[in-house]
Amino acid sequence: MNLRRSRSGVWTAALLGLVLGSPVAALEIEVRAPDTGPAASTGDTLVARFTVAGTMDGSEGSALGEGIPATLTLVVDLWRVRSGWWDSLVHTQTLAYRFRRDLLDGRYRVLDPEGRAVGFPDPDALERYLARPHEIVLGPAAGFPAERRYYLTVKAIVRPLRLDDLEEIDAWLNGEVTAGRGGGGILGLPKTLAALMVDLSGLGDRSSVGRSAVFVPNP
Amino acid sequence: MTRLVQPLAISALAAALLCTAAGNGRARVAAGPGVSASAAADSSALGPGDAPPAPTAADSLTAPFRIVFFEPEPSGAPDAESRPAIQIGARRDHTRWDRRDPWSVEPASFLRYNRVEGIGLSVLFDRGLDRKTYQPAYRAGIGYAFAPQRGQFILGMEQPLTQRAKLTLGAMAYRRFLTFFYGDEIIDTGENSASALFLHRDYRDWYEADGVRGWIGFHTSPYLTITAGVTSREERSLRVASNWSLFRQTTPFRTNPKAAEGNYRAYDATLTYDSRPRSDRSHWGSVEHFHRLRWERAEKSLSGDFDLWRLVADSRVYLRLSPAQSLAVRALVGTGGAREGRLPSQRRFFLGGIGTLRGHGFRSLEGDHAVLTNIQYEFDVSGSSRALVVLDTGTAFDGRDLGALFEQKIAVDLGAGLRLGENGVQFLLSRSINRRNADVNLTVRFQDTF
Repeated sequence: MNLRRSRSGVWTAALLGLVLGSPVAALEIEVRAPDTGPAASTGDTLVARFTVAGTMDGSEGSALGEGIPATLTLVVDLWRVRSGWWDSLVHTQTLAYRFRRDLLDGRYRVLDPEGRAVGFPDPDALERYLARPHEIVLGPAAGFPAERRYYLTVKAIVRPLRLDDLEEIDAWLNGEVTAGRGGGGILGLPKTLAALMVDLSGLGDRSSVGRSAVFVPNP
Repeated sequence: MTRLVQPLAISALAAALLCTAAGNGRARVAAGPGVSASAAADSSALGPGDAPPAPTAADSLTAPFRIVFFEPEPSGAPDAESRPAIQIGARRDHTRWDRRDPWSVEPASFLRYNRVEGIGLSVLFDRGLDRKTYQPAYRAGIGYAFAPQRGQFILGMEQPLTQRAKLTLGAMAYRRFLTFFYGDEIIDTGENSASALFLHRDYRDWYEADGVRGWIGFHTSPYLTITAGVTSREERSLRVASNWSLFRQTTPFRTNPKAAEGNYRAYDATLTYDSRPRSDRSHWGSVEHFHRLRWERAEKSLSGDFDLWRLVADSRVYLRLSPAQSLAVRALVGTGGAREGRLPSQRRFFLGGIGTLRGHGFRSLEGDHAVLTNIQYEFDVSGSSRALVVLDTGTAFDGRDLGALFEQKIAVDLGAGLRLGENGVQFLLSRSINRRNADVNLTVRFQDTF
């Protein structure tokens, strides 16, 4: 949508300011590099760890707390440090937790990254579950190139369920396989219109990035 | 409750079994992610001699979730240059076999709005190729455009002929409203519908196609597809049939350009390499590619009304430069010719405005040949917001030989903007830097430009 000059620009700038100025609770991510010293000498597996806190916002009456279906996406990246050039992305892996409040029994239901359903009595319990440690198995230290430096980043994104997610959950509830599905059906309506409404309603996503210290797996 | 208890019981049992395997005095790595009870919650990292204490079933919801990047065998460890041993979750093969290209027409949305259809409704059922079976892919749909009172349909299938669907044969019949060149690439149906409905702006130009198509497909890998096909269809102009919107009601829609009408009979070949996951861009690998080369030739010897050829190369590379920076580059080259002179309007190249040269007026450049490059650099600024810097260059022109390209004045547009959220609204200010007194264009988008 191309808005040329003048009044259109004014209200767009106002909207931009409104959105940018909105207070948003931050996600707290702590990423701890693996202990490389003893592991490197014995050839054991390197394991890093991270935690993500603040997913449920914590503010009273927040949309997520009231049960708006949402997704917590965790993008875990392993980067190799390169001098004088951009760092190299060695590996990336994505996890997704989908959660919502079941209006029938008031419990919070979570679909974990492996598709298992878990229930919690209140948002605090759900927050504790989502904030539990995650371990990243990096393999044996000896398998890494000698003296190369690495670090890990974890990007956490919390956002209300998109229609794509709803399609998947719809299929999951009906026992369908989603591979290769295209448009059509009641959820095939233009997703941009729904995304637009989500953005304008203040239910947009929150994200944050955590980064570990640089480590040398195979010194 | 049964639905909840059952998975919990199963995971507790699995955790107990895995614990037994892990509790031998050494840190053991499970075969896959999610072996949540294999380590204690208070251990900062597993090292030699750190035996994880045996968890109980109650610990299963608080024990660490385990993500396996690399298998413990040395062969699975990350070589500096090779691919990692485990592919990211988004790279599931079956997602790559739902190729759109052989069908050559974009599947219609369930509900849409534009100036030639008014409100359009469609119901579509489809299934992509499954490399594990010989089951055919199919697509069947009907639709109706309320303003011109015109029905639409699509019915087709693609049958694998060899194992893993490497060779396929497809056929389909359809009546659809199609877009002029690149109309479906510069803006998707949903965003165009929103623009037409709210702002009285329809960024696509339209014509109607009614005919059949057959093709043979070579799916040599999940990423690479080659198709060769023949098409016979009637092509007709469409006029503006709806002229209302929720806002800016006094401004009329643009006239829909007249298309060259007649029977289009042609053969074509398309090569597509697409490594892009279907997930969000923030989940993509370090480098992702999309390359498509398409050639088409219509001849009157095929008893059609058109005698033309066209070649279009569309190449895109997406790079994650660092945790906070990314770069996307697109190069588009199109050329063609017709015996009667210029290419028909529905096959000419149009550049300018959203999706192409963002500092120029919408479709301000046109010709039988076009060259376009877009470079978009993004970096994190605050929270989930990203700053955008874009550089667009290109031109479209008429001419009988490529020498005309070097006589062209290449348009150069520079822009800067902001994206709110991972996939949120984008605000972009852009301006032509080689035209004096050029306007500054403010573009608001709800999707990536490319």
